Amino acid sequence: MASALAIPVTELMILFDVQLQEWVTKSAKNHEFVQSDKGIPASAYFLLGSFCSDGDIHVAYASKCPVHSSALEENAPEKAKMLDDDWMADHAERLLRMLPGGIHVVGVAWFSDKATFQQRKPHIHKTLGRIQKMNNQITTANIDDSISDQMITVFFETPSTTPVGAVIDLANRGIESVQKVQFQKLEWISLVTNASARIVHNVPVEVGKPTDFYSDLMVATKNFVTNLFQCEYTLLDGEIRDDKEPLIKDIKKNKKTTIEATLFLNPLYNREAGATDDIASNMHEVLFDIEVRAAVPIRSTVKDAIRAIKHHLVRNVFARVELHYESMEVVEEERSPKAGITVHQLPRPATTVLYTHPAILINDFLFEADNVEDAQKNFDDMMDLQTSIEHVDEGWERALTPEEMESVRTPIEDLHFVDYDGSNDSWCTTKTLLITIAMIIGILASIIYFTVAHS
Amino acid sequence: MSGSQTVSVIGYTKMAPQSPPATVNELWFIDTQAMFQNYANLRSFSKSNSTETQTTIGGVVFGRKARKQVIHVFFAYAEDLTESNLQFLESSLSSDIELVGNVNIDGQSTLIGNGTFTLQLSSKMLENKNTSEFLDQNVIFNNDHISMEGASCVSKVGFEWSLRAGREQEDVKSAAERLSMASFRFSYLNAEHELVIREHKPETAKQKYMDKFTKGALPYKDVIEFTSMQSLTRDTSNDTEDQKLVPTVKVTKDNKHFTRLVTIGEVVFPAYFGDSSFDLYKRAREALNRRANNTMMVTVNGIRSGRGVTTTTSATYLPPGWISLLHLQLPSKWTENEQRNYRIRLHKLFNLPSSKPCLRLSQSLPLHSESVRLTNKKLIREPHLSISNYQPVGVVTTVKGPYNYHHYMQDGIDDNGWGCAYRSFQTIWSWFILNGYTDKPVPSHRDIQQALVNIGDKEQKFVGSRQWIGSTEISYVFNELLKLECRFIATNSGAEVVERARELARHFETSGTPVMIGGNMLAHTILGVDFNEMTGETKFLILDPHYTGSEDIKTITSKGWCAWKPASFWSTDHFYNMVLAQPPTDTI
Repeated sequence: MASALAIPVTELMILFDVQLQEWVTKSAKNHEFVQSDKGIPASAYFLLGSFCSDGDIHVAYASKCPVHSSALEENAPEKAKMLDDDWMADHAERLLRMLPGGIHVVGVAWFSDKATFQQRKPHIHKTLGRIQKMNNQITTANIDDSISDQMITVFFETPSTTPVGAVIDLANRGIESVQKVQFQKLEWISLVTNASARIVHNVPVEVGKPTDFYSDLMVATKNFVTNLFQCEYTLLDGEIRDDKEPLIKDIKKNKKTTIEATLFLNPLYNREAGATDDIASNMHEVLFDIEVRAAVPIRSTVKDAIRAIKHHLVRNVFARVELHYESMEVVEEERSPKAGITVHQLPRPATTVLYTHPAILINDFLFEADNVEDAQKNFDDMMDLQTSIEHVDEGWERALTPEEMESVRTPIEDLHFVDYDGSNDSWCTTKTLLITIAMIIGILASIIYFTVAHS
Repeated sequence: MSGSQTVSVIGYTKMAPQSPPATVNELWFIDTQAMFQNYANLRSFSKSNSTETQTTIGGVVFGRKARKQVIHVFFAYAEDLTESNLQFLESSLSSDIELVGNVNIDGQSTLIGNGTFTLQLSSKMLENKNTSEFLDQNVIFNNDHISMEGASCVSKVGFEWSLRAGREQEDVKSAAERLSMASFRFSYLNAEHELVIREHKPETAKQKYMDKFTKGALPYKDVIEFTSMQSLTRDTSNDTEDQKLVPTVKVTKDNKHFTRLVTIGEVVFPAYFGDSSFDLYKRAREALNRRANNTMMVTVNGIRSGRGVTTTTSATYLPPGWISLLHLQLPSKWTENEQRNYRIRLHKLFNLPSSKPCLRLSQSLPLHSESVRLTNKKLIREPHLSISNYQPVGVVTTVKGPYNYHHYMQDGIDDNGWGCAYRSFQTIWSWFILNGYTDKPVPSHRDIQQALVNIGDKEQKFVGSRQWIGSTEISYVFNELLKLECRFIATNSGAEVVERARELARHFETSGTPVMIGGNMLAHTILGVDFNEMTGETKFLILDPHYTGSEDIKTITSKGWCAWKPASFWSTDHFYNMVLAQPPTDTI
């Protein structure tokens, strides 16, 4: 009878990059020290990696979750020495903002005795639940499918260095199943592109709805983000690829370290021909021109590679919006002399590569007054990346000059580029226009006229 | 340039005198008969105002520079020779066709545009259609018929313009300008054939990119559909600075009143044998620029004439005698009278005939799978054009313009044995739709029966029955539903049908509608005659409504369902009546 046949179950594997073996040994020893010296009962690390297309979870790096400074004080209460879920989740959120598309906090590694681990497990699971929620928020704006409903815990019963892995099914009340952890040589590939657009949102007149900068931006970009995720085409190295194909067809022969992508929006998305009169209380415009460096395991499918690129763009924008919004509580909004117009400049990126996996580029975001040393310090504090200053690149973007700021403040309809002389060869005319604009407002011009969405 | 100059299709703008164009030594090709016909078409319109009677005629010449081909010579009265009209004309043409010259008639025309040459013409030469005189006076030209060629790449593009209340005109122009500048951002993809047409450098172009699809292709029937995409990614290699600017968020609090204008445009551009991917990209980009420009012009005209902001629909045509496509944005919400006036205006600008419609929406080519169609797209159009091996016996005259083949068993109706006259009627009706005389859909059998009841010809129980109808009923229904007059040719035998061949030929030459013939308890549709004056030998091009098979053109032409039939096709023992539906002559 067919029903009597056993169905083989393909289990996902937890794969640690082979270079993490050294980290395990070091971390186990380190924990023994802080436990005996400071009485800290457990050490936690955020596992950074990817949810690979074949279902396996690949871990590239582990980033320590610090204990609260009060835990290190003499006679610190036992409670202060425990890593609570709010503390861990807040730290993970800051970490998430730094990660490129395709790389996520995939779980937590935990070093302690068995009893402590069992006792803290509900808190760890709660932390993972919050990380998943934050990741979906910042990476997909809750518009694309969930990044993953499964995350992992890897327990080391110190002084042992044997990992005990478990997969936590967050969509199913945190049910956990034990999984073996293997160390392998893992490889990621870099996905490179750039994306620029001017997103416009005419805010409908609605009385009595208090708004804030962050939620306004979520609304303003919803159409754009949905279009981005639903758009069926992205070119990889200039070609249309089938979603189900492996990104690299023959991994053994592969010599590529990067793949160049072209991102699109569907110009017919959410549009029906018509002329409608409307009133807008406000207009929100987001203008961006961003370099994208996502990374995925080399064994990924085309579909997951494309998702990673899109995730990078969304995470990159929303991470900065979040940071800017948090800073607005202390920094007064920049007011334009023109009544009713406020222009916010978002923080700029500084990057460094993960030295064990150069395809993975980590971002920090700097405010105008911050400098490259601040980025270097943040990389060290957040990820224990002892990067030399030469390896921190903050040259990707710069703040606007006063003239550029003035151009941004001017309504786009009132920016007169040049008289359009339609009698000329229109290809040449277009070229002339581009050059003319370039002279007027510098590189801002390359994006300013490209409107992607009205709502 | 002032606003009115940019957009007015109607207004008069006096042009600054031009310096004489430089002499060109290369040989160009021109179809002089097409040029003469354009002149005759313009002159066939009654002069609309006193200005026209007093002014001279000039013109503009459009062509393909690379191939040295003149594709269109458009004549116009002096008041229409404006930069804005020139811009409008160019943006309505295929994106590989550009202004190449102008026209000087009797040395008195207003010269416009900075093309390569000026055609030296005279009224007498134009009226007498004198090719030799033209070639004598214009030595850089060869008279030659230029063949239609190339496939059509078609795609739908959506764009959205936000127009501030009170500043709509300026904002439309500014938005169209920005869209044109950003047109390099649009890519056209066809996943099935792995085709990508997008911005790239000429040195990375792929040669002969679409030769597989373009060899022997014709633009009105060989179509490659693309999905348009708006690229977020751009080529940054030419950026003047290494650093980009940080993202900005601008919040404007202004309680803005505005109109949101969404246009779904059809971007069509030609692909020729031998084109590189870069040729195609340039053409695609130009085609989008022209759609944006055309949309802007029609919208501004609508606002200026007090009709407010209106949406437009893209429509692509192959007007009679043309060898390239015409692309228009037609206002969708104007009244019928406004639209009619607009069409008359366009007929004059494009030198189309004054006697018949050419630019009705029903005449547009449904190039895209989602294009508007007023007839069933599953039906076979003009099957007689697929008859390949016919040897004429004399002079051939056939229907003028497209029609659909209606026959038994279509639309889920089993009318085998009784519906042949209904189907012949439907074929003729489809001709009236496809040639722009009506937008009313093809009536069903039941609609036809109901019309006959309404006029009192039949009793109510006739509706839904399986009763035959004949030629008289057909003429009644045309008269009732389309207000058309029909001529009859009544004969007493099949032999007499042959005797009336000359009359049929005249009908096809003038009216050009398919002819229903009923007799011997059968109905057929005559699509043409082949008549030898010397021998009297006659053949009839017959479309047979009794076909019950699928829409398979090979079967239809090879098995005689659409075929040339000898005189013996008609029975000598039966009488036949022919219905010759007459199209109105005052419709545009």
